[in-house]
Amino acid sequence: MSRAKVLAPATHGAQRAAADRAMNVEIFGDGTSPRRASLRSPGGARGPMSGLPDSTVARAKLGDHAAFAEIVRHYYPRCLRFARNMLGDLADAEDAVQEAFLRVHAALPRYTEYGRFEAWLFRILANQCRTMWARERRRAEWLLRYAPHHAGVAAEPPATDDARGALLREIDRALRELPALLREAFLLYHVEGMGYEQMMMITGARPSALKMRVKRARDLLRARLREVRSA
Amino acid sequence: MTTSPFILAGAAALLLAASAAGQEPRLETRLDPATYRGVVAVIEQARARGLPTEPLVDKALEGVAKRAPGERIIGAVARLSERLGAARAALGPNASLAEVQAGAEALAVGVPEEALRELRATAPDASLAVPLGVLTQLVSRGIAVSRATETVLELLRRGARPPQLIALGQAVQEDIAQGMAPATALDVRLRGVLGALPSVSDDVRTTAGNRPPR
Amino acid sequence: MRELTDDLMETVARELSVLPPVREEAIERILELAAQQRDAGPAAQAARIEPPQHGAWRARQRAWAGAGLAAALAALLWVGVARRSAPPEARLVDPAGPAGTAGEAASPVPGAVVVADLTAADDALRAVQFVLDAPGVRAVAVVGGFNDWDPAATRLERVPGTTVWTTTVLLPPGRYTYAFIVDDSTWVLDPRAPRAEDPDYGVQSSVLLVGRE
Repeated sequence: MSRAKVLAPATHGAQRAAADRAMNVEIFGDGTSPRRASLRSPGGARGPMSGLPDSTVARAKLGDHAAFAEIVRHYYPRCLRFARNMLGDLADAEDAVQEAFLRVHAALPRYTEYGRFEAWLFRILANQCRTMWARERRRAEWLLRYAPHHAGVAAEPPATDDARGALLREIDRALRELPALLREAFLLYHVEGMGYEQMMMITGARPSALKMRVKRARDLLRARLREVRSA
Repeated sequence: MTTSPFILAGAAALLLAASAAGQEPRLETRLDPATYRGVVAVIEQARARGLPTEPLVDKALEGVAKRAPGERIIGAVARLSERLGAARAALGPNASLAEVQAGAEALAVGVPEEALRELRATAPDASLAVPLGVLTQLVSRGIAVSRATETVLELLRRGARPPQLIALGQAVQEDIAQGMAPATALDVRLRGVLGALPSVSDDVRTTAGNRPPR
Repeated sequence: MRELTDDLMETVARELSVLPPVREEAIERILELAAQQRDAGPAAQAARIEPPQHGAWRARQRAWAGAGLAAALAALLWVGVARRSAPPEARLVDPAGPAGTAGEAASPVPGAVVVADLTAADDALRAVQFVLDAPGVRAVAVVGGFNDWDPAATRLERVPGTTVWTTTVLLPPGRYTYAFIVDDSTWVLDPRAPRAEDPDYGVQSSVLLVGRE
């Protein structure tokens, strides 16, 4: 499987979408997009998507700088996507992903769960997202209270990419309204294509709780988006 | 503190070991599994008693940052949980989270539960978060517990409001840092505050805390 | 297990699946910072990760006799201490006594400061600036109750042309204990702040009071 080409061309619209899909294919090897894989089977994450051989992780654990770089390049796009969907802001997402990788790097020498690296990585990333989200919310509340003339801007999550248009903004807004735990479960299951067992390793919650969260997230999103569309 | 929290925590840990995963994500990645289970057991107990759990999570994370061994972290969290429970018992079931937390901090520096009850009796309708905080501060700076307690009670009876209490505490702290004896500093600053308060006869009902002056 | 059977959810999942643009500079930055972590020295890095033998941190303690002179002195003393050839070993020298006995030891005044009235209605955030003058160090972070005591969460930045590290955070009113973590390995108290004893863990920290208006 070829290594992912991480540079995305700075194009817009259809070209961007095509480039993204091309990147999907490169990363995931078998030509499926992660969404389709997740719809087909929740265990899709264990397939070609996971990708990195255990030996890479082992080498990185021993201090191989190049191996760590491979790990970063391999996971960065998906981590960024997850963080961006969790936080609603690309810059924040980059920060969260950076912090997560640095923490992984620092803790690698004592990492022992071979075969579960991806879950470990996403667990750390999910925690970063949670912390950041809580901080951002407090900041937004502060702005609302103390800079009311900015409130109109601050209350809305900054539009990160105009090319994706109004639909995405709607979806983004609805996603933002979900409680963080539901959003997290929804994204891990339906967007990152993970299975409940892996999600348990990431969130620490039992599969039964996770299933409920995913379903509830769907229900809330559906209701919110229908409301928006009929308005 | 007694060892009963450990026994309770241990028993609860056995019961909860299987379900500890996922209860406290902020702790799970930073504690080793055994410590995590022990801490979660204490937190779950506290939660079941309706006590605030955030201070417990914070205490555990503090222990991580300070490189404390796992057993010590569990012990610290358990002791804090006990103090939170004792504070709530002394301050009454309607005590706010801030009050319970401030009460626990006061207990930690040696203020007796009796003092908490007295404060509550003196100012039943006021928030005691600030008075308790100032009390803790005075005791921490070397003033005898009984003296500090009496001072705060007197101020509450006289209708001192939170900003005045805070100012007293800060001034005493600075005086002591400048070399003044703690008891002297308190005497001096207390005079200043009392002089600015209405005398007792002006207001029969205690109005310490959030009530605005007449 | 339920599938997404309606078009709306399919659309949502599809839109969210699109990978955002990846900046090569962001990846390079991660690798660069990781290299710095590594270059801090295997001993320092190990000290950061594994509990040191003696089970505690070293604190660069300076007596706080008050005001600017002591702080300036602290900065000068810091220069001497910071210029070391070997990576710092993370050990605590507890001024109150051997690590583990603090609390029982006859220590000077423990430092607690007043809690501003934390009524639920007032969550106002105040800007708090942390400052540490630390020549010759590579990284400074601050840890405390406000950031889950996480050294990765709040890193300070050096003011160019100076040896002063700083960052500003927004905090709700209250009392916070905190400390600086220097070079990912050394626990440093704030020379400007009152100190809090720690009967629970035997490691002093600094105390910060954030007040309301």
